[in-house]
Amino acid sequence: MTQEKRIARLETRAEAEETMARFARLASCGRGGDIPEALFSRRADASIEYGASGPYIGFPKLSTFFEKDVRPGRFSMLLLSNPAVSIGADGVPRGTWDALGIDLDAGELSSTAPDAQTLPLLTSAAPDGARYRAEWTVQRFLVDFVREDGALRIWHLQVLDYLRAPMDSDFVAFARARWATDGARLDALFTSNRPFAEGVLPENLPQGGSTFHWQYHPDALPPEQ
Amino acid sequence: MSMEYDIFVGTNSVRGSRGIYTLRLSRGQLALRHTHAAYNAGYLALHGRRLFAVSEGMTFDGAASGGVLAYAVRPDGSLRETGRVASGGQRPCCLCADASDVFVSNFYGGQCRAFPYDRDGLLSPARLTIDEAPLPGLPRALHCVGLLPEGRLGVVSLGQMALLVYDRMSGARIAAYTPGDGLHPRHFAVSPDGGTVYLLMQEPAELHALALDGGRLRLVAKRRLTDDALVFGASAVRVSPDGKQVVCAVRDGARLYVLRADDLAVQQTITLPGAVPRDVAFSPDGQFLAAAMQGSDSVCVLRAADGALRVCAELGGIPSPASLALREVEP
Repeated sequence: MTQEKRIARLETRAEAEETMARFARLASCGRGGDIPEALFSRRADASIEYGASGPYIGFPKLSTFFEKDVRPGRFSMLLLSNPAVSIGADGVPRGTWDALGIDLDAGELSSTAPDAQTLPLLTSAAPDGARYRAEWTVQRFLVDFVREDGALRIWHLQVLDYLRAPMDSDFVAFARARWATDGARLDALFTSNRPFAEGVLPENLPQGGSTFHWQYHPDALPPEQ
Repeated sequence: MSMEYDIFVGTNSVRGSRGIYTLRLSRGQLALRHTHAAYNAGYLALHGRRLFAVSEGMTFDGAASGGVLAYAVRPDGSLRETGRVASGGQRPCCLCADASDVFVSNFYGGQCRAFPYDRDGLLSPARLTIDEAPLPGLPRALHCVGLLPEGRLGVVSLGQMALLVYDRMSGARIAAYTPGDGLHPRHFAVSPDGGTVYLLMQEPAELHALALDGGRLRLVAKRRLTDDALVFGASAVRVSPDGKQVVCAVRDGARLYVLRADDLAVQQTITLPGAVPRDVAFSPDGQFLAAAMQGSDSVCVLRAADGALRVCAELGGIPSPASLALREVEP
């Protein structure tokens, strides 16, 4: 391999890591809605799959994952680590990152009342009974990139939703309790704050079943992927 | 004869839904009696004192699957869960039950599975899986599943764009009916004598009457319900318990079409109060028909009198009703 090629591969690897760092930064400063435009491919087959959600394919569908109201008392943060980036023969990278996440919603403690649909997702309660969410998450991000107009963009993003638990609980104890809200959580993740267009079915379903899903369970072996 | 009915309403988990609602219809008045927590109870089936429901989601008990739930129905119409099992596919969208098995169609993955249940209502893992590869260019997906006479099972396959008939015990395919012309089959109902299957197309909204003839399906009549361009399309078809009428719901415009069963002549067209009728169901005696108005979070009831159906009761505050099952209240 020539020195130029080695440098190009290292630069591409750094570019992939910077792309994901921008993803994490935008998500944590209330600018998640900017992520599709800034970072995702406009290819018709660009996609997001989160946990058991199944794939949401195409820019309008994947954008619903990010289109959320910014409300007082909501905060999320992704701490990406363990990057493993490989460069294909075409010079385009793919990679995996592990992510420790913080997902907060003040819920009924906020000055802005939560809507009824999000109430099941408020998994903690203050002494006065007010419900809120303060959860840890552990995830793995699988990312295929594509180069468009010279810029590296996310082509396929799959988030393996390994663990989540309220901060006053633990992952093992919460592993079964979370089943009750997993479905509602997936629905909320792919609910946009934008209204459905006229003349289309007002539902946002994935374009297929899950390609892979694993979440922690007391009887589960670690995932092979 | 009892004049009270329990109406079980399965709802989608939106807008604060509390799962499965039990309404009491008494003297023409509707009232909420009970709710039972359930996630996306998108389809219900009654068999005696047991109610079965799908959990129409992408995840169930930690797996990438939907679920099947079994309930004992108490005399007061409340529910007690007796069994639960992963449906073996995501977004199970329809189910039916005979005396020993619950048959479930999974939208994603296109597999139909039979889950045995015992006399306590405990569900066992699937004893039968029907899994046919789709035709080229079509999705691996199913829609409606329902019981047919003589131990058969009907399955609406979107992978074949056809109604497929199987042997309920072996899963062997017996017959198929493909409507063709780009028609998209969705739901079907069977006449009380078991001789006719009414197959409803989603869009365009069209009803086909099929004779069940020695295990084969033969088209005997068809009726286009509307030539309007539809977004939601037709949703559900039911046959009156006396077998004389077929009722079809079309979500756009909240329309209900009442057809004569023998020749599919349209006898009555009703615009229902509310929006988006997702399901309709007759009371066992045919005196009443309930409609789940998914877009207006309400259930309405029509009374059958003088050969016509007329709206007689309505109840709001039921988020996204998607499925109905009715029974007469036990004396």
